[in-house]
Parts: sequence; structure tokens; C-alpha cells
Amino acid sequence: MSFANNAVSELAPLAPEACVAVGICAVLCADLVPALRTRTAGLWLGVLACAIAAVLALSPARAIVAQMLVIDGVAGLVRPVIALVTAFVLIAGAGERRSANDHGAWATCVLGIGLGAMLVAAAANLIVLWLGLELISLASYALASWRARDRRAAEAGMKFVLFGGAASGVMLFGISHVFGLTGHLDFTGIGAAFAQQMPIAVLASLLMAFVGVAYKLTIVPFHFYAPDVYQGAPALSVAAVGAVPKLAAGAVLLRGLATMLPPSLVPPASVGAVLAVAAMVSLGVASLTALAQRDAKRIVAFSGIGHGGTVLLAAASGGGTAAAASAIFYLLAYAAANVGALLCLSVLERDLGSCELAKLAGAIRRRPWVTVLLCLFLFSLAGVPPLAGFTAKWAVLQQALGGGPMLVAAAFALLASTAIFAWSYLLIIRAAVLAPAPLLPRASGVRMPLPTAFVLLCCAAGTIGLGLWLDALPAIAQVFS
Amino acid sequence: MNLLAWAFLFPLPGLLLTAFGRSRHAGVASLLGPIAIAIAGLIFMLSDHTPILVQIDGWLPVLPDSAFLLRLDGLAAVMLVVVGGVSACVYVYSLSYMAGDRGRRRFFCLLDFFVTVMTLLVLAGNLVVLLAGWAGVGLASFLLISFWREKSHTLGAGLQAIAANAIGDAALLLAIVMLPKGSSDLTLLQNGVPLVSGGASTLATLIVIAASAKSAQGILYFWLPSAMAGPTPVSALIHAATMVAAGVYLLVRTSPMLALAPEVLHALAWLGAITALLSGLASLSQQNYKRGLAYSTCSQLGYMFAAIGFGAPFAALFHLVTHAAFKALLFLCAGAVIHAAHGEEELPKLAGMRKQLPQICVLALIGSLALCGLPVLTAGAFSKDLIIEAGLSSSTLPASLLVLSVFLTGLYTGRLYFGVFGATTGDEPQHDLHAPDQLMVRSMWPLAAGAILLGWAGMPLARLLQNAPKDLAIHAVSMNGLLIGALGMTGFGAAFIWQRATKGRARLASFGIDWVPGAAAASRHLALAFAALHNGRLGLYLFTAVLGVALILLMAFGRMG
Amino acid sequence: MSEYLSLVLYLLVVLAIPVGISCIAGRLAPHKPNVNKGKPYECGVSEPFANQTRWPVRFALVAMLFLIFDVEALFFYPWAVALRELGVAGLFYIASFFAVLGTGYLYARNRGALQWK
Repeated sequence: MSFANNAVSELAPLAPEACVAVGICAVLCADLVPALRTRTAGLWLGVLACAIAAVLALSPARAIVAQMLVIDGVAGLVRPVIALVTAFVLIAGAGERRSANDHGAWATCVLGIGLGAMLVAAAANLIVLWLGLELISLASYALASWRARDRRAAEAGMKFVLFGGAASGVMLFGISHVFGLTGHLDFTGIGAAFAQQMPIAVLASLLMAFVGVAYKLTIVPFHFYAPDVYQGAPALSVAAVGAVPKLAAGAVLLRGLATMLPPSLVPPASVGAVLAVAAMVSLGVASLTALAQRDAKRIVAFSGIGHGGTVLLAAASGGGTAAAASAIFYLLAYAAANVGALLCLSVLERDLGSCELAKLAGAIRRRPWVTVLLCLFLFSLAGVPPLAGFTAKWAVLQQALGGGPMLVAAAFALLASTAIFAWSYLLIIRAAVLAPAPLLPRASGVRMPLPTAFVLLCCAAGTIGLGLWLDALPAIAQVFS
Repeated sequence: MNLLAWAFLFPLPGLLLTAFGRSRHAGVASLLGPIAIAIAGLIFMLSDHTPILVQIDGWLPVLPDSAFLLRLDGLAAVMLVVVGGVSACVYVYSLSYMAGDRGRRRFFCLLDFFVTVMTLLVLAGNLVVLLAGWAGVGLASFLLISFWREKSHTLGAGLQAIAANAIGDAALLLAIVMLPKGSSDLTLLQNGVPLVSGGASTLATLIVIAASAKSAQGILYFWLPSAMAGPTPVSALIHAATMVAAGVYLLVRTSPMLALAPEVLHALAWLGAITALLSGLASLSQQNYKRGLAYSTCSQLGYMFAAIGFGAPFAALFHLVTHAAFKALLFLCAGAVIHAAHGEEELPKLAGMRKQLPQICVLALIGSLALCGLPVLTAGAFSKDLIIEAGLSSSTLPASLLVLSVFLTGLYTGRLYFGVFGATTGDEPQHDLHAPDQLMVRSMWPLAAGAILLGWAGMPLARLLQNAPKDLAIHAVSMNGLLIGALGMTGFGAAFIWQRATKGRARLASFGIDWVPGAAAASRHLALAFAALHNGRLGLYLFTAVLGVALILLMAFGRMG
Repeated sequence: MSEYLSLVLYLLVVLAIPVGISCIAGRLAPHKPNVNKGKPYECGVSEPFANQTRWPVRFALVAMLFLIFDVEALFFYPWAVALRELGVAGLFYIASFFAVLGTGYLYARNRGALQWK
């Protein structure tokens, strides 16, 4: 039995992941009982699994599991957050999808994204990274085309699959080159394979492997699927497909840059500059394209592309704990505001039939509180003080301005894009608040589902709290060091 | 003495009395604030000039230098006197000007708020406190421009001001972020900050951007002419004498740090000179009395910017002081004329006011001559001459542009003056005038006195600010000064002849470049182009993605190879 | 950089040859297109039926399930090879794996994914 004990103790740090996996199995089993299938029992089972996983993941222990997964400071912070966000999406599902009869299947997909994201966030090996990303992708494909009869949803799912396949292929191609050139797949092994400067071929292969992560962070030009998926999928599913993988991708990006490309091997100005250019292009393209959109969810999609670029900029500005803290803090602020905004849009979408700007008119009369909260979340995304988005942008700017000329240029691009994005958000706010509307009856008859209201309030509390918690950044940096 | 550094709180009692008092003469109580502020400045000037510091630690712990720091020194005292003095005159003027307005109580409350934040800006001891005042005056400016809510274009004009101010605020915020810990104290800035190499020019650029947004320089000029939609006393106080000068004040404050970045200083000289020239030209094309004066303000602020670019911050400050007096005077005269003509602002309809408003005519003449720089007799000549002297001895080319705009100054000032007060053709509609009362006229006397006498304050000012150039000579009576003054007067005279010849219909074609609508159109086109790229064609998407991979690899090879 | 020069040259040559041949052939060859020449396969039989017909979506479902279970069954082989070295711990690993697989199978079966109606 000592072997078994050994195995269990070795895998003990992965208890949160195991918990979510067991949760998935439990949800599937519950779905087989006809009496439970039409109820939301599956969702609540998933919420329970995520909650336990979040508590388990809070443990401050640091560990390395078989050179495959690393529970370091970043993973230790991001994994519980992922579990928590997944739980919130599931709770919101209990409110928003009351009338659906496929709760088990939906919860399985959301949990799949959560599990994949937790694995990616802790990945220290290219194969595990790839497997985690694939797990996220497979579940996301299903969520994106959930509305089976909707042509837009079908198109979005198709694009998502083909684009994801291409990105995955490029990534695997790069990984195979890395393995061929270094003989390693684990991050530390790749970083330690060369005593002096890393050959260009290895760097190029690593950049190709980076494509898979960039695809999840929606970096231009790997972002094309995002607007269609956001528009085609139900708003609540988008919250799972959009925010959760970004958290994981940001975490693994930080770890990969720090361990595979340490400054001793690669002049930081070179990789940093390449990533900064990518971030700059993302910010520019996304902010300008968002101006021309006529659908609130598409605007949020382009905002996600811009926020991905900002995270990339934070990661590009040096490997220190301060830069990592700013990137993670940015992701936390983004997750709170993004999930909240999408949930608000989900409520409005259900009430008004669509998220097109023209259809949003009169939202303030019909759902005053939801619309006010939507404005709050959009303000946070735009970076208005004292909300979380402002503090986060400030932190990233501070990091980027301390870097080389390309980073400084990217910081200015961030400022410019912030202004342009603010205009796009104002388009949504104008449509929902100011636009003259047919006199819609106030939705007093349709009460706000309690779970939805709970999640909305939690997101609002996070958005305001993270903005007002002035010592957040030093606290995060302390966790990392 | 420490109390003096809290001068920004002085308007608060007046603000409360005005806001909650039940007096029929709302606003009289507010008058206490500006007078107290001016007196505070004067007391400091008469004392032994030891800077007064107030420090409260632990304010805003998120910031690198978290102290709340106030600082009253010579420079701040000068600004206090300017702010307090001009606002006192404007308050008295407004008592008459706004007498019949329903929003009179709100107007005075907003003015009090403005004076409070402007004084805070002046007394700030570090950049963070300065930013609080800096953002505050922007807000006050917006509220006062949009004061007459029922007029259609006031809100748009206010939003333009907010937009330009937001650019300036963002730049200043960035500058604060960039400053190394422990050096956002303005005193350290005064002595030059130890900075990483290359950091100085970035920091200086950011400060220059912030200042030019506040002072309507370069491409950020666009909001100031629109800001004339507000009440005229506001234009006089905020958009001529004090708030727009805050950019110049910031540059004077940080001039030792700017000196570490000579290339930025050089660019600053060009920026100021070109703005002075182009806005002078733009003023010639205006049909609206107040907009013509607004472009003149842009032009004069350009002189001050150029002075800092020449490395002569004292000259900039001196011009700031004299300009505050004569430009506020000109605006108040314009207000009196507009008030008399029942809100009419178009030049052709205002002609022939000399007979009806003789007192205003004399006061406006004093202001105009000071603006043109009539040597010896007016204050404008002293300060403007100092700037040009400094320019001619450091960078000749921008300075010669300034000399050219001296002539332009005379021309546009004369055009505005003779357009309103000059001889008439006789076929103008007769005005049913609403003559200004004595309170309004008397409130302008101190400013007129300032426009004449402040030139002689140069030497005491220089002594007060110990970092002024030692070899300061007041050149008004020198050969150069007389020549420059003569140039300005030639322009003024030319305008008289021109006005006679064209019978008041003189106007140059408008050639201001409206870059704001241009930028909006450009971004709209770009947005549509990018949106067209997202056309739903998967083939194009994948191609672009692969192209992206190739470009990233190429960039990596280029960087590493 | 220089060690990759030969590779770049090689790629350029590889690219140039087909492009060159296509250009030359396009210039020199006579053009008399007809329907049959325009088809993808000029030689042999024409395609027996149009490939853009509708086919039952159940086919895709079964194919997907087959793929998943096929790949997962593949994992048993390396475990079987290393069975003795892994010992009890190996049994634990494969049991957990089998449990997950079994749940999936049960779910697919009970929801009727394997019935061809």
C-alpha cells in the first residue's frame, strides 16, 4: 500500500483539479436520473465541486508535480480564482437558464473549461499546456454553438473549431521543434538547455508554441473567432468562454516567459519588444474596430481583444514580480467586470431579444438596476477611477513605462486605445440609457432571478473592492515572491 | 504664518454663505474669498520670503509619495495675488453683470469653487496635490462654460474643454507615475531631479503636453475659442487670466527640470512661437468679438510658452502677470459692450459704440494698447519685450516669428477695437442700449491701473523670485524695446486705416485647421476599414493569422539576428 | 543568422521552381478549356455522386464517440507495458482513468447516443 500512499501524496497538490473532475462525473451521473435532468441539480453539484476546489486551491503549499505541473505563486493565486469564477458562471446559469432542460450538459461544458483552465494555469510542460488548452477549446466549441437552431451560433461554432484547430496545429508544430532542438518539454528543462544565448531556431519555435496561448488571450491576428463567437453564443456562455481561459493563459504566459526565456538566455529587450508590438497591434486594431460595431456583445468582444493585448503588454515588461502582479491584477479586474457586464447583457438579451445597440433602447426603464450595473462594469473596463479597471491600467502603465522604447510606445498606445474604447462603451451606455425608446413596461412582473442578482452583486463588489483596495498590488506581489 | 498656506480654504465661508444664505444680494459674501487670498499673497510678499511648508503624511497611500504637501513661496504668492486680484474685480463686475440672472446663486458658488481649486493648484507642494487642483479647475471650467444650460451649444463647448483637459490630466498622471520615488515634491523639481538617462526628456514632454492642453497651445487649442460660450466674466477670469495660465505656471514651476531636456525646450520655443503666429492670424478671421479675443489669448500664451523654451521662465511669469491684467480688462469691456447690446456678439452689429459707451471705450483703449505693447506707458510692453530679448539671444528663428506676431497683435487688436469703437458708416441699426452701471465700470479700474503700472513691478518681482536672472534689465526704454513697441503700434494704426477703408467689413478668410473633426473622420474611416477586415471569411482570417505568425517570427529574427 | 542562410536559399529555390514552371506552362501551353478539363480529376471516372449532399448528423456523433474511445483505449497499452514497474500506484492511476471513461460511456449510452434510429 505504500505505493498507493506515495501516489496519493504525490498527486495531493492536484486535489482541486481532481475535485472538479469528480464534479464533472457527478454532474454526468446526475444527468442520467430523469427526475434530476430537468432541474438545476446538475448546476448546483458543479457549484459545490468548484467551491470545494476553490477552498482546496487556497492552500499556500507550493509543489512541483512530476515536472508537469507547478503550483507556484501565480498558480496558487489564479487557480482558486478560476474555480470561483466558474462557480459564479454556474450560479448565474441557475438563474438565467431556468427554462432550459439541458442543465447537466451545460454545466459539464462550463466545468470542462474550468478544469482545463486550472491545468493551464499550473502547467509547467508544453504537453500539459497543450492538453489543457484543448480541453478548454473542446468545451468552448460546444458552448459557442449551444443554440442548435441558430444560424449565427452554428457559424460561430464552425469558425471557432476551424480557427482553434489551426492555432492548435501551429502550436504543436512549434512544440515539436522545441523538443527536437532541446530534447525537453518541461519549461525549466528548456530554459536550462543552453548555457549562453538561446539559438534563434528555439526562440522561433517557442514563439510558434506561444500562438496557442495568444489564441486564448485573443491577440491580433489570432482573435478573429472572438467577435463571431461572442455574438453567436448566449451571453452567459460567453462569460465562461471569454474570461476564464484568459486568466489561465495570462498565468502560464508569465511562467513561460520567466522560466523558458530567462534574461540570461534572451536579451529582454528582444522578446519584450516583439510582444509589445503584438500588444500594440491588438490594442490599435481592437479599439478602432470596436467603434464600427453595432452589437453590444461584439463591442465587448473587441474590448476583450484589447484587454488581452494589455495583459500581454504587462507580461512583456520584464519578468519581475511587480510586472507579474500587475498582469494578474489586471486579469482579476477584467474577470470581475467582464463576467458582470456579460451577465447584465444576458438579462437584457433575454428581455429585449437581442444585444444589438438599436434593440437596447429603453433598457434603463425596463431593467433600471441591471442597466446601472452594466454602466458600472463598462466604466471599470474603460478604466474610470476608482474602479478596479483604473487601478489595473495604472499598474500596467507603470510597468510598461519603465521598459525599453517599444514598451513605452506600447504604453502610449494603451492610453490612446483606452480613450477610443471609452467611446465604444459610451455607445452602449447611450443606447441603453439615453436613447429614446418605445415605452417598454417595467419588468416588474418578471422578477430578477435570485442567483443572477447574487452573482451581479458579487461582480460589482469585486469591481469596486479591487479598485478601492489600495494595497492589492503589493499583496499580490508578496504572494508571488 | 502657516495659515497662509491654507489660503485655498479662504473662499469656503463665502461659498457656504452664498449657497445657503437667504440674502437678496447673492454673491456679495463670496467676495471675501478672493480678497483674503490676495491679501495672503501680499502678506507673504511683505514678509521675509521664507517658504511656508505644510506636510501631512499618509495621504493616498497608494501613491509613491503619499504626503499632502502645500508650499507657499514667492512664485505661489505672485500667483495668489494675481488670482485673488483678478477674481475680486470679476466678482464685483459679476454682481452687476449677473444681476438679473436666475442662476446667479449657482454662478457665484461655481466661481467660488473655481477660486478654491485654482488656489489649491497654485499652493500645491507636490505633483499629486497639483493634479487635484489641475483636474478641479478643468471641472470648474466645464461647469462654467456650460453655465447657460438652455443655450444649445454650451454643452458641446464644455465637453470640448473636458476632452482637452482629459488629455492634459492623463499626461500629468503619467508624469507622476514616471517620477522616481521621493521626487514628486515640487521643490525637488525646482532644483532638478536626479533621473535615469532619457527619463528627463520623456518627463519633460509629458509636462509640456499637460501644460499645452491647459493653456490651449499647439493642436490642443481647439477648446478655448469654443469656451467663449460661457458668461463673459468667466471668460475674463478663467479663460484669459488664471486657469489658462496654469499651464504656464506649471512650466515655470518645473523649469529647472525642463532644463535637463534641452531638445524639449527647443521644441517648446517653436510650439509657442508657431501658436502665437497662427492664432494671431486666426483672430483676424473671427466675426465674433469674444472669439477674436480668445485667439488673442492663445497667441499671448504662446509668447509665454516660447519664453520658457528660451530658458527665461521669469519673463514668462512676468508676461503672465501683466497679461492677466490687460486681457481680463479687455474681456470685461467686451462683456460690458455685449451686455449693453443685449447679448449680441457679432462684430458688424456692435459697431459705433464710442458715443454710447465713452467710459468703456477709454478702458478698452488702455487694454488694447497694453496688448499691442505701447512702450513705457503700458505694462504689456515691458513683459513682451523681455521675452523677445531672451529669444533673440538664445534661438533667433522662433524669436523672429514672435517679432512678426507683434505686428499681427497690433493688427488684430486694432481690428477688434476699431470694429467696435471706431467710426461708423451710419447705416448700422441703432441700439436700444442697456448702459452699464457704475459698479461695473468701477470694477474695471483696478485692472486698467494694473495694465498701465504693472510694468514697473518687474524689478520687485525679480527680487521676490530669487531664481530670476540676475542681469535682469527692464528694456522697455531701450532701443529694441522702442522698436518692438513701434512695430505693435504700426499694426494698431494699420488696423485703423484698414477699418476706415473697408468701412468695418474687414475680415480675412478663415484658415484655421480644424483637426478635431479631421481626426474623428480619420478614425471612423479606419474603424470601417478594420471592420471590413472582419468580414466573416474564414479563409481571410486564417491567412491573416498565418501572416501574423510569419511576421512575429521575422521580427524575432530581426531582433536577435 | 548565417547558419540559416542555406536554409533560406533552399526555401527560395523550392518556391521558385514550381512558380517558374507554372508561369512557363501558362505562357506556352495552348488554352482550350472545356467542361471535362475543368474538373478536378481529368483522368479516370467522374465523381459518382455530388459530395455536397446532406448526411445524417448522427454519423458525426458516432464517429466522434468512436474517436474518443479509440484514443482512450490506446492509453491502456503503455500502462500494460509498464504494469509491473508501476505496481499498485499504476493500478490506482488506471482505475481513476477507467472511472472517468466509464462515466462518459454510461452517459453516452443512457442518453441514446449509440442507438441508430
